[in-house]
Amino acid sequence: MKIKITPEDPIIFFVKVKGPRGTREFRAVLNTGCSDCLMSLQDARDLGYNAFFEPFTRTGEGRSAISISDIFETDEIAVEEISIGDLVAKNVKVLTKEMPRFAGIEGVIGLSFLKHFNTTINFEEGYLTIEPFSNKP
Amino acid sequence: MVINFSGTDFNIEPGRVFTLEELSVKYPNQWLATDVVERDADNGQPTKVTVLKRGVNAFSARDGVGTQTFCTMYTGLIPERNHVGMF
Repeated sequence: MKIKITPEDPIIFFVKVKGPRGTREFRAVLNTGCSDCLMSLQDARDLGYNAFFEPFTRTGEGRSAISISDIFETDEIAVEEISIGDLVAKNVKVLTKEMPRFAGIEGVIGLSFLKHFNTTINFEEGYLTIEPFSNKP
Repeated sequence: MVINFSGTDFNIEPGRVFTLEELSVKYPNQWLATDVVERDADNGQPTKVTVLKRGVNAFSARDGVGTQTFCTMYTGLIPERNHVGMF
């Protein structure tokens, strides 16, 4: 998978997330400093994932996460599949988090997805490349 | 937005195919639920879609689409003007 990038803009592309009840596709930003992927709580529930942690009463299963602005507790789910183009990663760890309304994106692609592939950010040529492992012996 | 009492959005043209650039003109600064009908051969990114539903935010665009597989997108600038893209 190869897309054009510029140093001035966030790296954003469409990703597909599969669940027991369907598939959602939305824009996500690449964040190589983020250990996990993020997706919306609404999509996670609609896709059939058990994402019902209540941070105030602390009922359900949740996890603490640190963002640039706060520490929050949210659901951690294992997503069946996340794909970008023909690249498919299975059993990907995802946290639920709604992005700000005018961010224009609905998710974050972090290391829990990227660890399945080799990723190259080439500013000289202006391309991001995500490729399957080479399976070298 | 023109909506009748049955909830039909008359500004949606069922089956009409749009490029993503055309969507930004027809439905500026809106959230859309779409069906992808064509993709870039090199990277699999959506290039042409039909519009299923629209909303003022992602929640309303996703809600009640009527199918379990769809693509949501915002048609405005990403990130919005005067914001740095820090996520």
